[in-house]
Amino acid sequence: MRRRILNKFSIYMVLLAGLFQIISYSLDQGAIQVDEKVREYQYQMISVSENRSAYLRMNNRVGTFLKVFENVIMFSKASNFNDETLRFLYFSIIFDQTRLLEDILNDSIVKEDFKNKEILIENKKVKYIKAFTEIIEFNHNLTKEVEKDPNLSSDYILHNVSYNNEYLNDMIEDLGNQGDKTVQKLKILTKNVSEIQLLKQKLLLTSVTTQLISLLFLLILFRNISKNLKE
Amino acid sequence: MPKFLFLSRYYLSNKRNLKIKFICEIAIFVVILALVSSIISIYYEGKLAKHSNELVKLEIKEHTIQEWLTDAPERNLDNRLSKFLYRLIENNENFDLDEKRYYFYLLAWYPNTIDFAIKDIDLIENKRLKKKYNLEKIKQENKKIYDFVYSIYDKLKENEWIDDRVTDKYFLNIEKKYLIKLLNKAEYNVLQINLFFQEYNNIVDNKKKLLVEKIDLVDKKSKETMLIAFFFQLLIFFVVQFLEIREVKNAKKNIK
Repeated sequence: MRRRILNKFSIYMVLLAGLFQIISYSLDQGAIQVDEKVREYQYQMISVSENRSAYLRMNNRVGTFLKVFENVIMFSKASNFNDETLRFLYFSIIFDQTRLLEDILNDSIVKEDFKNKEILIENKKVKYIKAFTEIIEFNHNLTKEVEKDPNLSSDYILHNVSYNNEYLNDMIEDLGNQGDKTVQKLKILTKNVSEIQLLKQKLLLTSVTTQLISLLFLLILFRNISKNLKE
Repeated sequence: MPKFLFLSRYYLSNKRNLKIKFICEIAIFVVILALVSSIISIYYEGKLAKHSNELVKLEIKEHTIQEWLTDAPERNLDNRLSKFLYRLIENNENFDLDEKRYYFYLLAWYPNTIDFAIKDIDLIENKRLKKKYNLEKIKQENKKIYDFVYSIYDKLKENEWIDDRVTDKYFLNIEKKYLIKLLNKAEYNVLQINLFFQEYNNIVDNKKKLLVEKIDLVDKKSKETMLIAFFFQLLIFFVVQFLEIREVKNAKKNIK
């Protein structure tokens, strides 16, 4: 008696091949979705890493400014420089202070990260960006005042610059804290990227494996058919 | 004659089927080979990911180390430059700067810097290095300097700051020797912190090197395992084929 070519075994083989093919497609889809996430995380990692460097540079810049300022004040106050020389010295500090604040506040990451932050100015909570924008405006007005009035005392200029530096001292700490936060973010992102990349790799490899299993069932089916024909 | 026709047709169709069967078996063999390779890849991928993750973590640690390898020597360099500036003006009649007040001013830059470094060192788990560079002693000495600096700051009245000549009075009872001693101690401690991070940097670099070697080793092992699996399967394939051919030969003999 001749055996039927498409027996129960063959049907099972076809069904299993189809099932594994579907699993393989699903895993491929999973890998595509995960890949999207990997790209997103990788972009975030570059961006956060850049932010970290930016905060570090800003922090160093404010620190260097304050150190130079303290040195200038220490030596100028111990000197017998005339008021004109002191006025010129302190005037240049206003200029540097304004430039420094403008550079920092114009940075989009600072605008974004500090938009909800508040600072205490004369016991009043003020929005961070607004407070420092006001200091910049004040410095612009002070510059105009110094240019207009040659009799404006050096002490008056120094008092205002020193007052603003109090807030720069707060800023150096805030920039440092923000830098630390970005390091934490970077650590979390690195962990996520690593995990998700592993997942993607495993999904792709499992997809290949299931595809191969599907192929294996088909080949077993063909072998079985040829075997049946022979018999 | 009909028997011969039947046998020749039987042989021909049988030969074609045998060919198909043989091709199917080769394909099955290749598929199983690929299957084993991908399973081996999945296994080693997990191992590789673990090492890569550790490598990235070390890279992040290196950020902090590099920051301190810059900041610590910069602090001491700045201190030395400031001391040099004082030497330039000390006999200059255009300047009247109290040496003790100036040294105090230089000292005041240190405690916070050392404090930040200690916080970062505390996050590092390396007892041997901490012991080698006397971290506990650095902590105690820094606290002493901190308390001293703030004991002077606390004396300052409103609108007084250390850059004013009026604050010279707070240094009358303080010996210059004592101030220099504290300043040298702070400078020395920052140097120790610098050396700590330098040595720790070497440790991290070695760990990174080892991890890269481990990654290479896992990679090599993965390739070797795949090759062994290939030869093993090839061997099984030949054995199976040998048995099949023997069976066909026997079948042919029986038909004849």
